[in-house]
Parts: sequence; C-alpha cells; structure tokens
Amino acid sequence: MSGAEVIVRDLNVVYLVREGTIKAASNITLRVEPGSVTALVGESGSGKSTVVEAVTRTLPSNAKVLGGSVLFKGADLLKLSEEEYRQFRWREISYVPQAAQNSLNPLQTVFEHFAETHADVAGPIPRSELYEMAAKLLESVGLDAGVLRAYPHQLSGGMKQRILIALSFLFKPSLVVMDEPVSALDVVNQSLILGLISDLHRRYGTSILLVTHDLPVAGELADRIAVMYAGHLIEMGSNEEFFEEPLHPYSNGLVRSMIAFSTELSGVSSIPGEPPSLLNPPPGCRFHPRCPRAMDICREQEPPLLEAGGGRWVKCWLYGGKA
Amino acid sequence: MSDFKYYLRYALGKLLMLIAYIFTALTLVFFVINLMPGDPAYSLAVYYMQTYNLKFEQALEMARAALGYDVSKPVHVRYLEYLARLTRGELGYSLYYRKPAAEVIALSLPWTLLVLMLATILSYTVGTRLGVFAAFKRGKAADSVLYSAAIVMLSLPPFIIAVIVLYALGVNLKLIPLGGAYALGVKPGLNLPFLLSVLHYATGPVLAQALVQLSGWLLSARNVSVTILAEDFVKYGMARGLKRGTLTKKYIWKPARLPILTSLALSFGYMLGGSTLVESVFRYPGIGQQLAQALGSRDFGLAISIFTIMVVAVILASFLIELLYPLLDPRVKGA
Amino acid sequence: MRAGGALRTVWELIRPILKNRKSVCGILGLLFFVGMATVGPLIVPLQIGMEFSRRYLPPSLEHPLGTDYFGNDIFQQLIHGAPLTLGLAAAIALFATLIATVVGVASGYVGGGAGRALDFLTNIFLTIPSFPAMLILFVALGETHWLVAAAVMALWMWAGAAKSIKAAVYRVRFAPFVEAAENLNLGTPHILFKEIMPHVVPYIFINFVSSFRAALEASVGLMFLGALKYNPLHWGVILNLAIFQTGSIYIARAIHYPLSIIAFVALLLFFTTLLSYGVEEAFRPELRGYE
Repeated sequence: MSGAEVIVRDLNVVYLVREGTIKAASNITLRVEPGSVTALVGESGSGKSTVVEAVTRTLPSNAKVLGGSVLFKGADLLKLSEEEYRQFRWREISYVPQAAQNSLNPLQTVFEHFAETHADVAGPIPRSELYEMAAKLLESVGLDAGVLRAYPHQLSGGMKQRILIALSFLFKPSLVVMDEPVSALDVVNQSLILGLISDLHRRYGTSILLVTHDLPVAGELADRIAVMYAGHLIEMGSNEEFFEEPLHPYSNGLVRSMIAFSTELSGVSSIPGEPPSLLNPPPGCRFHPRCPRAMDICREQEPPLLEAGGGRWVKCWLYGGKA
Repeated sequence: MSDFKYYLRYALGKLLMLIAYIFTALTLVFFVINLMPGDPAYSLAVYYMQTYNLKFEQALEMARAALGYDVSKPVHVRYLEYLARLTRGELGYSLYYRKPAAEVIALSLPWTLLVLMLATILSYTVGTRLGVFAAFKRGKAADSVLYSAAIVMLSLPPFIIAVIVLYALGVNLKLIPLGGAYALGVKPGLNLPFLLSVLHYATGPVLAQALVQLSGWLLSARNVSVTILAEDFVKYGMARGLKRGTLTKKYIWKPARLPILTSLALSFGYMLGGSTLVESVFRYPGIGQQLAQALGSRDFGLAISIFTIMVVAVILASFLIELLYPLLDPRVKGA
Repeated sequence: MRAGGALRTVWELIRPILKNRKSVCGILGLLFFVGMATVGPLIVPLQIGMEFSRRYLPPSLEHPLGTDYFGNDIFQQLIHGAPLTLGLAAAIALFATLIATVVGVASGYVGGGAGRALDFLTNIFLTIPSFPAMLILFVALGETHWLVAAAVMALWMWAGAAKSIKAAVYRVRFAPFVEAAENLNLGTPHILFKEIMPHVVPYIFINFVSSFRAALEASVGLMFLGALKYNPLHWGVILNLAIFQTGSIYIARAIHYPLSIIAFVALLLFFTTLLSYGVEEAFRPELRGYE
C-alpha cells in the first residue's frame, strides 16, 4: 500500500528510424525513494518520456533497450517476460499517460474502463461492489459518481484527467508514474489537479514519478528533482537544495528564467540555442555548445554523474571528476 | 431529450434524406433516358420491326411505350406520368415475357440476393480477419504478403475473376455446373435435394463474387486497424494490463466496425454492377443476368425496371446502414 | 506562372512518385503497354481473314499467342487493339477528372447551399450503380461515336473523384494563408489558382490515375457483355468474342485464346492499380504499409 523504491541504473534506450538511431536515453541512473514524489524534468525530446515508457514497458515498437536495469521490489523490470511483468501492471505500477484527451475508449462508458481493468488484472467482482469502488475513487478526485455512466466525448479535459488519475489508484499501487499530468489543462484546472495529486499522495503514500517540462509544477509537488537534457540525466537533488542553488549550468539557466517570469527581473534570459539532435549528438557533454562555462574537456569527454554532497548528483566537469 | 428521442429524430432525418435521394435518382434516370441525343426509340423500333415482324409505325409506338419516351407529349407531362406509375408500384412491362416487369423480377431477384448475401458473409468474415491480422503484423513478412496479394486481387475486375473461377472449377475440374440455379429434374421446395442443388449451383457465383470483394475487406480492415492500433486509447489499454482478447474485441474490432461498414455501404453500387458480370459468366438467373438478357433482346421496359429496383435497393441499403451508426458509436447520437 | 516556376512544380509532382516503389513498378509495367500501343502497330502487321484451317492453333514461334476462332493471330490483334483500349480509357479518365475537378473545387470552395447541393448531386451519382446505368445507356444509344461513348461513361465515373478533390480543397480552404489572401482582397481567381490549387493538384493527378483504372475496367467490361460496340480489336470486344460468341473457354484445345486476352487485361489492370496506389501513397505518406 505504501510506496516502494525504484532504482534505474544505466538505462540505455534508442529508437530505430530510417535515418539511423536516436539515442533517446543514455546512461540514465536515478532513484525514486519510497513514498516520495520524484519529478523528472526536461524539455521535449530530453528523453524523460522514454525513461518512464521503459519503466512502465509501454515503449513503441521501434524502441530498443540496449542495456541497464530498473530495480523494483526485488526484480529487474526490464528482464521480466511480458507475462511476469503483467503481475506488476496496474497492481504495483500504474501510469497516467500524457494524452488524457484520447486515452479513454470513446465507445464505452467510464465505468466500463474500471470494470475491464479490474476484471483483466485481478479477476471480476460483483458489479455493485465494483460500482462502489469506482464511485469512491471518483470522489477522491473530486468527481460525482454519475460520471461513471458518461461517455468520454461528453467530458471535459479536466474531468478526463481526473478519471485517469482515479484509475491509476484502482489497486493502490506502490508506484504511480504520471507523464505531464497537467500540461494540457488551463491554469485553473492545473492548480486544482496539482492539489489533488498532492492529497492523494498524502493519503496513500505511494511513490510518484512525475514527468514534466514545467519547472514550477515540479517545484510545487516534488520532494526530489531530476533534470534531463538531450537524453542524459544531468542533475538530481532535493527540491529545496535544487531551487536554492542549481548546480548544472543548464538547470541554472532554467531556474533563472523561471524566476524572471515570476518576478520580472530584466537581464535574465532564457538559454540561447537549441537542444542537439539525438541522431548524432555532439561529442563530450551534450550541453557544451550552449554552455556559458564550457571548458576544453567538456567538448571532448562526457562527464560522469558526480556526487556533490548529501544526495546531490550532477553530470558536469565543473564539479570534479577530472582524471 | 432522452437518448431514444434523439435517435428518432436522427432516423427521421435520415428517412427524409432517403426519400430525397430516391426521388432525385429516379428523376435523373428519367431525364437521362428522355434527353439522350437522338431518338433511341427509333433504333429500338427498327429492332422490333425486324424481330416481331411489324410495320414501322406499330414498332415505333411499342418502342416509345417501352422506353416511356413519347415525343408526342411534352417532357413535364411524361415526367408526371412516370412518377404516377412509380407510386402505384407499376414498374413497367416486359415485352419479351409479356408480363408486368415486377412479376419477372420477383423470380430472379431472390437468386441475386442469395448469392450476394452468401458472398458478402464469406468475404467479410475471411477478409476482415485477415486484415486485422495483417495490421498486427505490420511491417513483417505476413503483412507484406497479404497486402501484395490483396492488391493483385483488387486489380482483377469481376469478369476476369468470374471467368477464372468458371474455368478452374467448372471446365477444368468439373466441380461446378455451367449454368442455372439448380439442377433439372429437382423439385423446388423445402426439400433437401433442392436445397443442396441450389447451394451447388450457387457455388461458382458465390465464390467469384466473394473473391471480388475479399481484397476490399482485407485492405479496409487492415488500414482501419493500423490507424486504430496507433491510437492513444489502445496504448492506454495495453498499459493497464488488459488481456489480448479484451483489447482485440473492444479496442480494435468495435471501433473498426463503423468505418468498415461505411465502406460497405459505399460498395453496394459496385457490388450490383459486379453481380451483373458474374451472373452473366455463370449464366446464373439473377437480376444481373436478367438485365443483360433484357438488353440483349431490347426489352427496355424490363431493363429499366430492373435498374430502378437496383437504384432503390442501393439507397435503401445505405440508409439501413446509416441507421446503425448511432447504435455502434455513441458519438453520433446527437448534440 | 513563369516557365521556371512551372517546371519546378512539375518536378515537385514527379519526385515523390518516383520515390515510391509501387508507382515505379506500375510505371515500368505501363511503359510496356504504352510501348505496345504506340510502337507495336508499326512493327507488327495485322492480317485478318478467315482461315478456318488455322483455327485455334496453339502458341508457337509464328503465332506467339496462337490463333483464334477465325484462324487469326491473337498477338497481332492484341497489339493493334492496345492503342484503342488505352486511348479510350484515357479519354474517359480525362473527361471524368475534368468534371470531378470542376465540381469538387466548386463544392469545396463555395460551400453553403450551393456546396451542399453539389454534394448531394455527387452522392446521387455515387449511389446509382454505374455499370448497369452505362449498360442500359449504351444499348439504348446503339452505334455511337467513341468520343460520345467516352463522355457518357465519364458521366458515371466522376463522382468518387469529385469527393476526393473536394476533401483536398476543404483541407486547405480554411488555412491561415488562404484567410490572409481573402482579407487582402486578392481576388477569387488568385486565391483559387495560386493559393489553393497547388495543394490540390497532386490529388487531381491521383484521381486521374484511379479514374483511368476504373475506366479500363468499365470499358472492357461493357464490351465484354456486348453492350458497347466499338472496334473489333478492342480487348473487351476480343474477350466478348472469345467467351460468349465462340465459347472457346469450353473447348480444351482453345483455352489459350481467352487466357491470353485475360492475361493481358489482367496485367494491364495490375500495373495500373499499382501505379494508382503508389501515387496515392506518394502524396499521403500516412498510408504507407511499411516504414
């Protein structure tokens, strides 16, 4: 019932396309502490969705896991067969996908989604019991039980997002992975849903792996923050420490542009340039073309993930590790 | 408004469209016949003159009556008479059989319906299953093979397929008969020898017609399934751990039925045209062959009646399918 | 448009077609038939007579496909019938695509009541079974000039293409650059031809190819049933002769006669279908069966 620990170690995922291979996630190592909310932050294309797709085993067919492990409850999720992994699906690990708008089957009611999930994962139970269960879950996300009879096209985006969240807690799993849970919503709904997630986390104590490109969202919910850039995990640390002093030049740029937006400081700019192509990433540190503090070694060698004291990790030559 | 009232309103709307379509289509038929360049009654009259040994004036009168093309009356009068006849259910008169066309058609229509029904069931069951299978195996060998085979078959027109089936099964292997709906000497009625004979004689046309439609179903099902498989709700279903069976039934087949049915509705006209060719090759006594024969003997009264039935049948069938839409897809119901 | 610009757009039209496997295959196959139709009659002589002693001779060096009921060489007939078969279908496709373009663009661009009326008309023509309609018309018309026949057939073939073209116009009709042009009062001809048409032209071409294919099937089918009397060398008429009039399919030693005609018709249709699919895939990448 309460959260479990997830350790991702040296995860390496590529996508096979006509032009070559896209190195979507390289040498990713991160840890989700039991019962904590860990935010995986990065811009689009940084590889964050790839990481969670690997953990939830929902990678597309042209993706290949080249190596690494995902340790969860004593098993390496990547090495399990589909049958073995099915034991974890939804019961231990659930998933709130990015596309709330289109994730529900348009031809069946909301209740049907609850019913079929329960039937296929944990066996069928009497309809009335299931109805009560579903109604309670909807209540916990602020929806009326009448929604169960509705079809997806009759619901608003915010309502559908809440339903997805409710569904993810059906079996009170140990890990809930949320991919951009509020990105598609308006500001009012965003704030409501964030509060909701916070409540649910407190109530059930599950571990939450939250993926977002929105730093303020991470700041509001997360206990720990992990930043990804161009397929690499470049920094990880606790919420307070991260925002107080972001170590990596990229995170620094992100946090400073966030501050600029909210306090309207002039002279603080966003990071110039574009993320590199993952088809042919630059040698050395993938951020060096845009880094204001790039050194010679950055252009040549990829920095290792270095410990910067007390559970803080950063992938940058500025913090040591020179051979 | 309750769901049922929404549906009634929808059905009523479709019914009005149905009437509008039939009306326009039959009007079109009338005008195309009556406004053709030259006087078709003339060449028809020459034919009648020779076949029935009549004087030209008599023949011309007959021809005019058969075509409904009486130049002596103005167009709008002819049109109103035409509409009046139709509403009375009078389809026309067959000169060849010397009977009301409706009687003649009543004898041949059931055979065509039998063949089309069996062929559609056969090709739908096999074709859609193969199509969904190919979609699952997209990019792999099985998909390419099925896809290529479907295109090859699709390029063959109905008469070629019919001739090949006739030759392979009929002439070469002598498995099926070369004409007719049932064997001579078998008594029609609800008895086993008759039913077996009917099935035996229908094998050729059914097989040919099914092959004509098969690749259409296959490709349609495959393309629809490929699109559906890429949909987010399918991925989410898989993420939730739904079983293969559940996914296939509720997440692939159910959403696929609507677009596939739509393409079925669009193919009715083509099916009827194809059955004309198939029946002619197999000398099977359905309305397709009857149409060809009627034209051969310049029995325009019968021919146009058959055509009218075909037009109404296609529009009716499409209408019936459209009535099914809201029952299959809750998004279609109303507001 | 200046000449350079026109050439560039033509190239932009051709390039995706050449990249697609299916269309290249189709083009190569069709080239054979076009060659057959253009060069063939010049090289291969036509000797038609009635020598029953040479009836149903099997294929040999002298008669590559054998002889028919009258003792005439089948191969020669097919060669000389090729331009007729291809030409008639091309004419039909041309007429049909013309009508379809006018109706499709009009209903897609104009919209409102007129647009809906055109849609209704298009649907009527789509629902009416075209083959029986043509069958009746041609028997009623009797002897007709081939251009008139082509026009009559085109009448029943434009509906599907019109729908497709309308959809293409509709897709761009509400695009921002069209709205901008309208707001700038650039005039309907400009908007139509310079803004909208360039996006629609590929679809006109796609529909021309599929119309050509449908026209081939329909014209051969009509002659096969004997409804349309054209030239005795048209492949459809030869097929009618082979199956219905001489009954050669029931005669074991004569089977090469209907089979060779069927083979040629089938191959022609196959390559045309390939090209049709290939061209459609070239301009609509989402339909590709492989990646």
